[in-house]
Amino acid sequence: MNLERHTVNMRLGMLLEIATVLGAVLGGITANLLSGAVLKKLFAFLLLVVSILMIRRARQRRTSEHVHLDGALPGSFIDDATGAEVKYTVKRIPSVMGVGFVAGNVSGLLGVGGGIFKVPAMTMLSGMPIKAATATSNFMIGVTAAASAFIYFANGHMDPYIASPAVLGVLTGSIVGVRLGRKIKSHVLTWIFALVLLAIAVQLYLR
Amino acid sequence: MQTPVTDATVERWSSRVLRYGVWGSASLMIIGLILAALDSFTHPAPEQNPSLGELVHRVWSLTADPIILMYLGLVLLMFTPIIRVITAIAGFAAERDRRFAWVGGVVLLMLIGEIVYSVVVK
Repeated sequence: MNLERHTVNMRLGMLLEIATVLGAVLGGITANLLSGAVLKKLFAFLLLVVSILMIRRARQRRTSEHVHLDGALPGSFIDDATGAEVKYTVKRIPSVMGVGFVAGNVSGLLGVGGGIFKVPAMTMLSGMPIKAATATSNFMIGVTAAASAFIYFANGHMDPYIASPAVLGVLTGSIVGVRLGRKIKSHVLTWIFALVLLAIAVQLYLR
Repeated sequence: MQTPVTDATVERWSSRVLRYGVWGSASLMIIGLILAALDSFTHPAPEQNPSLGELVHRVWSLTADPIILMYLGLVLLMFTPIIRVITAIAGFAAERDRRFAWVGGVVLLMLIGEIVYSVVVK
């Protein structure tokens, strides 16, 4: 649905896929260098800082997001909440790829999805509109999950009586989520994302 | 000379691959769950997942049971993003965007490499 509405930046998504898959492959090295407990506290603090920065952005209550037009990988889409066309470009691509690498590296260790790192990086570092950032992050999920899914399948860890209902539930939720997300204004979406980040930060710290 | 394939075309192809893959896998899982429920869940999940070869053989010989249908749905779901990457590579190549066709090629190679390493070596 996001692809059809042109909210996905496919080129950025594919660049980030390289970084994330590479990070995931090297995740075992991080697991050996740092204890899980230290990593969780470190990232809980980092997510807390990022959620505060995102809340500050959302409080500005802009009706249209401030976007850069002097970067690379241009994109545009119609924001269904406002009816306006949003044009943007992507800045600081190497930095965002670095965050993608970290996301791939530690998300398995922390038990969280990579989107909580990549979406703030795309909005705050690259200056992407949040709807394009979340759509691009969703676009990447399949690829980053596919590799590990085959590993679990090959090792006999997939119970179809558990996996099938879970997949169907996630599919239903994501369809509802995309339809709702289209109608929500960008600053509200930023608030929601920032609050979810805050909740994850607290949960990570307390684990 | 204007190329007929644009970003919108690549998005449309990718969208169709994802849509058909996801709905196809969901349909297989739903059918499998319904058949299993009608049989009062008398088909237990095997201790070891069937291999891809076994799945294909069971479907080909029409001996698929509800469990096999659910596994097929899951395997189709796992392959869908990989087919999406292949579609994007073809789309960027048709668009004469060699740089991102190569980027897609790198993603595909990394995925295949990781899968082969995990399945064959481990």
